[in-house]
Amino acid sequence: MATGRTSPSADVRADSRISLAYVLAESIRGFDPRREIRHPVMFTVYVLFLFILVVMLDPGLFPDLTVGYDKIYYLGTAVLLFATLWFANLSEGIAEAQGRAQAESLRQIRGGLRARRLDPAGTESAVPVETLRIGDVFVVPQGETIPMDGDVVHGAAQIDESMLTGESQTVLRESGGDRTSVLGGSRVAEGEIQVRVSALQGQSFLDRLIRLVESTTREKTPNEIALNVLLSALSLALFIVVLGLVYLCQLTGYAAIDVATASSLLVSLLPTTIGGLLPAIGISGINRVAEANVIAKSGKAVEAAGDLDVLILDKTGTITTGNRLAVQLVPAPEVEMGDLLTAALVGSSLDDTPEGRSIVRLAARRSAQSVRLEPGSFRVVPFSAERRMSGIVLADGTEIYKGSVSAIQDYAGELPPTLANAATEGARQGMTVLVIARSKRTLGLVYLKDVVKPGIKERLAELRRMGIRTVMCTGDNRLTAATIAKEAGVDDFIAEARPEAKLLLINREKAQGRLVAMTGDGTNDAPALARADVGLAMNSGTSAAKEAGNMVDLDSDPTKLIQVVSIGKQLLITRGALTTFSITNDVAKYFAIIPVLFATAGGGFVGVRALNVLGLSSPHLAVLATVLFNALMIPTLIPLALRGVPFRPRSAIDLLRQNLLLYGIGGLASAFVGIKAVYIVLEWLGRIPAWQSLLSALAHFLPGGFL
Amino acid sequence: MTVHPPRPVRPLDPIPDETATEAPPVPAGHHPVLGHLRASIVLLVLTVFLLGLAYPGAITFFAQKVEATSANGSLYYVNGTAYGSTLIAQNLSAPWLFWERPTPYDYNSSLGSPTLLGYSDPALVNETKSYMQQYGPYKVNASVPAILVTISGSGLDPDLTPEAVLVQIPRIAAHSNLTEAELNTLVDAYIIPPFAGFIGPAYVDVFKLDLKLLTLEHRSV
Amino acid sequence: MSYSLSLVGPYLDIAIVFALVLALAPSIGSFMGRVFMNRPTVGEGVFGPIERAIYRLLGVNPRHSMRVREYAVAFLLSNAVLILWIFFLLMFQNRFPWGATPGISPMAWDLALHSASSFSTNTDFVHFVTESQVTQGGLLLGLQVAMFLSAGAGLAILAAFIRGFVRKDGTIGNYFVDITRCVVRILTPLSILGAVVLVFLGLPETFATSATVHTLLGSTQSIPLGPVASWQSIMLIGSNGGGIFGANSAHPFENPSALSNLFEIGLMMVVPFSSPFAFASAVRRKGEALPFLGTILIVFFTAVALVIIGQIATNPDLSPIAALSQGSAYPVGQETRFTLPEGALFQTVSVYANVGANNMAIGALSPIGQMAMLFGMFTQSTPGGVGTGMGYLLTNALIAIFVGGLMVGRTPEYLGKKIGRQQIGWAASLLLVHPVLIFTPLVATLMGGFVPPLPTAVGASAHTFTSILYEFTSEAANNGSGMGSVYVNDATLWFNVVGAVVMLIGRFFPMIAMLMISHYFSVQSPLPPGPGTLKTQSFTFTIYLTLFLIILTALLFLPALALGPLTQIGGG
Repeated sequence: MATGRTSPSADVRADSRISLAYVLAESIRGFDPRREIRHPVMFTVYVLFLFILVVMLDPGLFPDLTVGYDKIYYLGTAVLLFATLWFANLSEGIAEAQGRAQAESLRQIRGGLRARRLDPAGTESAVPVETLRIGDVFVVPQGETIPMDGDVVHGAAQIDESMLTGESQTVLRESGGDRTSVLGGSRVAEGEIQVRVSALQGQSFLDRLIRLVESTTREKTPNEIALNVLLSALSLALFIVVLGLVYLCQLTGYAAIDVATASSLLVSLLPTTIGGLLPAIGISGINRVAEANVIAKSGKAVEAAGDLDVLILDKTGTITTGNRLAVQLVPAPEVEMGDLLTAALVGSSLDDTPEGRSIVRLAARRSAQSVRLEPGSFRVVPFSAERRMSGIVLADGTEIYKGSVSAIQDYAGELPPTLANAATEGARQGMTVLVIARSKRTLGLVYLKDVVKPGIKERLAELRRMGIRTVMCTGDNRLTAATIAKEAGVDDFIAEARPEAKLLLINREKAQGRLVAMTGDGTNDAPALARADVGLAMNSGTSAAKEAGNMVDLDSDPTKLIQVVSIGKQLLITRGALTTFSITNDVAKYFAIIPVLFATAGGGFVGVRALNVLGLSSPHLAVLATVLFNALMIPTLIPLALRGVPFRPRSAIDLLRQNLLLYGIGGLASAFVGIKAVYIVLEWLGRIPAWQSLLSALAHFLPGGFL
Repeated sequence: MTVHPPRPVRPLDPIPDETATEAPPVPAGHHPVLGHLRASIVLLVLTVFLLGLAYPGAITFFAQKVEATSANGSLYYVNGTAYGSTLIAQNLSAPWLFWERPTPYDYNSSLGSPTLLGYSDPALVNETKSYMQQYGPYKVNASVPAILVTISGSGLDPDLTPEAVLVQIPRIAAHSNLTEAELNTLVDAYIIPPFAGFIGPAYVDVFKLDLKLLTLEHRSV
Repeated sequence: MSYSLSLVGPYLDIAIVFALVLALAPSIGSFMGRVFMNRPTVGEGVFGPIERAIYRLLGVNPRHSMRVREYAVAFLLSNAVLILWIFFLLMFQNRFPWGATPGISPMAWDLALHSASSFSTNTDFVHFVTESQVTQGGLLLGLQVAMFLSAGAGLAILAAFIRGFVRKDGTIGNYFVDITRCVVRILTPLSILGAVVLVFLGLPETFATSATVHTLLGSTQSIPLGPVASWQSIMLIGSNGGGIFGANSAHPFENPSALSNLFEIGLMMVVPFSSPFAFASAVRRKGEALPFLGTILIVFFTAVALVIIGQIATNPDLSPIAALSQGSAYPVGQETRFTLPEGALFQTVSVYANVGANNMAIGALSPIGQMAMLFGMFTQSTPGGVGTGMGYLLTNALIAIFVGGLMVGRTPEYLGKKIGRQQIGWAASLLLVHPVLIFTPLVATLMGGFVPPLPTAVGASAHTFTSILYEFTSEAANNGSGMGSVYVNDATLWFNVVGAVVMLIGRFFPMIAMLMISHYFSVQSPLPPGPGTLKTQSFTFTIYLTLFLIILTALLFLPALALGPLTQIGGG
């Protein structure tokens, strides 16, 4: 499982296990006015609901506004306004429950850990994990769980992080270099390590992860704030308009609007669909990122991911597998190809590096014979810094070495001119050239080449369709870099990059106002990760890198950034699409409610009544049907809000056209059809005797109107 | 570090910041608000003189040179006496004259424009009927065109459609020494065709028509 | 003559006017854009020295660029000075030159306040009868001055608004430079040109205030006169609309023939229909004009068609009258010398370009026509008044781009500037302020009994209601057209004071909002457009913007249209 997208096995992905009880409790807690007031649109509905409740119980309070008081109608209105609020709370509850389920499973990992602390004298003592301080060193023997985040200071081990990441393959962690960081909660599968604590209790990665996914005081992202401002202004304007309509109907005497109808009209007109689902959309964005096994440290980072202009990718490990593989053998003059093949096979058959294995694979493909080495009949000469070659010495004293051009020249003398030219040409094309020599005689060359990861080209093309420019960063020379860049299809590349290259590039792009993302794992990536708008740190990297980035990929898959970008875009698109849906949906509601207001007026009113395209006859039923439809839109769209609008990379204008048709026209049409359908159902219900007697019983027992 | 784009991206047109001017420190002794107040007052004074006075003055000077008749209201003079403006309606309610559209203000333009009854106002029906009664005593060829019994936007235009003029012919023939045929010919001559054949309707300036009619009938003027 | 909805015959001449204006619009717009952005223009040798002399007299350093607070202070002060001047001029109009017009007395304070606010805010809604209530001095020294300066202020605010998209230093220009350049280079030359042509088209131009004639039937008639051509020219070009005569452009002196009518349509259209090109030229993105122009044209053509359709249909109420022939077009309130399409185009342009001049009686229009007129004042931006109309269209577009930008999955941006919380806040405040300014005074007027009880017949009552709705809508939109009702007298203390407040807020709040939006853009560095940026120069975006505008307007104002014009239809 490399991308984290497909496998549902990981513990953090607990979306299917949300607690119904929690959701219900949360949806009721949502009625706390202190929570409602954070969502201006729904707060308006909340106030109207309370108002209708009061009026229902004592219509005498506002005799002017309750002309034609009908207890069942007011009850129905109150119930439907309550339902509108409850549905909105429900959506937020479900989104939060998803996050909570993830947090819960994480918390279980940590429960009751103890650490074997190593004091300066070197003695080991078992202490509760809470007492560990930064800088303390502890020992983790094979099979035990690592109690705290830290860096390996001694030893090496295979670590099983599956409880955190769902990744079943173990990863190597060792002291020194860039693979020192271990996470609290993971398990040492093989080996023993000493770890220096790098995070305070409560500040560890696991702790922050838990806090993040269950946080209810989620900060709003800039676009969410702007959208809230727009929706609030629109709501306030609609409030003025409906208030004006109520007064004007009364003052002109054309129609009578009671408070229940007015409140219903207002609630139907308010952008309740988007207003109700807005918090859920934001929470589910973070949840979806978590589902992809990426921990975003803030919602802002997820939103920023949707906005990216430039993506800086490391060549090695991201675009290429990082291993150079043999692609061609060139014999020296007067050397048989078969001879070279045999030497290559024999010389590399015990070389376990990817390069060595690839030489064997290539030679075996080209050569008919196979080579068998009897145990004890040879001696392997590993690569060493002083020799700069590796090879094998057979029992008969034959030495077969391979190494760089200069190393072999030191060993076997100058290369023949044709071979030297071939070596230069190969290097020019960005290939690594190894020379093979047997017993001080140069036999030929092997070309080794960086190989682009399968599928990376398609993913980069996808990014380009999203409008994101990719920049490849590599320490290779220009030629090598250009070859890979062309093969992979990146837009730009930086060759011969020094460690600070990424930071310089980020600064330059940001100075032009672009949003930049990068992935990184090394300590020297940390400043750039911190500077980037989206810094995706690899979980396998150092603590410093993970600290600096605003997202951490638990799977350590650099191409994960592409998935994060999609999620960020989905987040924005979902908001935009539901806003459009909400607004176009509203227009239809005028056509349902305004004409029926004039139903009780006398003759005439031909113009207004012509608006009754839905052919609704009963005013109360029409109003209730409209509010009910409006309320039902929220639960109907909860799955969409949680899942996000499907996103396929394509040009912005195509996206706009598609989403306009779907959510704009769809919103308009669905409201007309939906309201009529709900009306028909209500009308049908009203003809059922049981329903009628239920309503009259309700009317009888309710205290409304008698206070 | 070398940055080398393999496929150079076309440089996108940056928005030049050509209008940005450095904001020099406000000169000493220059109060920002008082300075703006002074500038506002001077701007007003300049506008009053240049655009309130000089502009209409210059145009008037020009107009009086090149188009004196229309510049003074297209007045129609006979022997130095102005009998009206060819553009403005006046009371022509004598039975031997062609009538114009009704007006609530007796064609007194200083009373402003008439406020009209709304499209859907029942009073409009009564008003229209009452204007129709003026035509009641007289024989009308066909039905009365609505234009004759409804008020125009200005209440001051002397114009009618040819058909609204033609329906009045029997009445005028009855009250003057001209025959219907003579009147028909007269009206035909006074139909102003659309300008260049396609601009504006064909219409009759009733003031001009009645002027001619009065001369033909040898009444005053 | 009969009218059909084909594009030939009666529609040929208005089609030609339209085509001519649209053909000229790119060059005029590009000229305006150069004026806005302080670039050299044609005639630099003439305009340059004049402007430099003006700056010296004003004590203004033209190289000083203001931040938003200073710009707003300069703008508001300048307008306050103008309003006070006209207020006192009208209150004491008999003591000023040309003040001795017989029968005209000084204005009451409330009427003077309404009139001063009205002309200074480019509204030109009048509660007076010009011929009998304003002296020649009041007209020329006061109201005509306001017609230049208010139109200039509108253009200046547009220039400052546009600068926000271009600049990154946090300044938005110099108000005095902006208004000077807009008046000197745009309004004055166009006015002179327009006035000269109008003189040849037969408009009076004299300092005589009236002529007395002996009528054919032997009585006398007093015919008011004045410098009509020069007045009419700036009145139409600057989207002012306050006629030198009470009957406005229906008056045969203001609009003597079908030809003058066509020319005046052109004068009204020239600046508003060129403004999208001015914007595009100012930001140096030629194609950026098209989505705006497209939106304007779609909404505008629909309105013209509705007005014409409404007038072609016979009035069902009049049909029962025996021996009445309604002919091919409803004639009440229409001038005979214009064909229906000519009259309708003039009136629709006038209302939609926020001029507010009348060549017909809007009060007598069909309810559908009145609805179309009201809709134009609700959007205020198709194309809207000089300067402000484009400003409104831009703010509406910002909201549309914000929602549309989200829909394509990017933080919304326009011309490389991110649309943030502040910009959305100020833009959305305009969605709020317009309904508030219309509904509050409307409800208060009816509730407080400041008008007589509405007539009992629904048709008459709905018409009267529509006329009050129309009045406040026109004032809130700084439009100036009025429909009037025989049942309501709006020259009262209540209508004067409330109207003045509505016009002042309706003018200055949105303009300050535009300056604030400009400010928040001006502190951002523009980012180059990438392939993921929403392309506004596209057919899809044009349709989107149009529908967005229509739906938003319908959402906020459908109830008003239902109670007003729609109730008139078949009111019984």
